[in-house]
Amino acid sequence: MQFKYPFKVIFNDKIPMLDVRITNKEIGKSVSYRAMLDSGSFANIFHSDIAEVLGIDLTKIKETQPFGGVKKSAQMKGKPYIVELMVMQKGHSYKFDSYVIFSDEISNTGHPLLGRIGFFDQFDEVCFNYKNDKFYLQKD
Amino acid sequence: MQNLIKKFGGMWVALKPDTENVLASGKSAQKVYKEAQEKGVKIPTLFKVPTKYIPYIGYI
Repeated sequence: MQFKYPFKVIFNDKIPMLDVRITNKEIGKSVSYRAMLDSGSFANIFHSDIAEVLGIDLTKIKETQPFGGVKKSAQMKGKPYIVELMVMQKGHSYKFDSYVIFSDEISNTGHPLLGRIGFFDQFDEVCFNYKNDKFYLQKD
Repeated sequence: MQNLIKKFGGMWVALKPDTENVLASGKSAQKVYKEAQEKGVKIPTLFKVPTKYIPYIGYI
C-alpha cells in the first residue's frame, strides 16, 4: 500500500505536508489536520488547540514532555497523549495508535510535525522524490 | 500556500480535505471546525496558517 503526495510549494521551497486524520478513541471524535513530515523530529508535535477540538483535557495529564530545536536557548514542552492517526488516499487507508505531544509552543511561523516516533516508525518506507515533486509513504 | 498566508496568516482555517479551499477561518480552532461542519463537511482539515513564510531549518 502506497500513499503518494505532492509537495506544497512556497517560494520554490518544497514542503512535505499532508492531511492526517486524528481520532480520540475514548470519545470517537475525529479531525483532519495538516502537518509536515520531519525526520528530524523525534516524535509528533501538534498544536494543543487540536486536543481541545478532540475533547482531550490536557490539564488532566500530569506528565510533561520537554523537547528542543536548534534555537540556542529554547526548551519547549508539551503534553503526551495516544491518539489514532489515519492516512488515506484514493479509497485505501492505514490507521495506527500514535504517540503525540500537544504543545502551545509551536511558533507562529512553524508547522506541526509528524516525526519518527508515532509516524515514521509506522511505515516501511518514507521517501522524498524531489525530482518528481512527490513524496510517499509505503506500508507493505 | 502563499495565498493562505496572505489572506489568513496567523489564523486557523478549516479546509476541504486535501485542498486549499477554505470553508471557515478564525482564531479558535474549535469554532472554525464547527463552522466548517455546519457547511456540510463532516471532518474538515484544520490548518494553522503561518504568519509569514520563513525557511524551516528544524525549529518550530
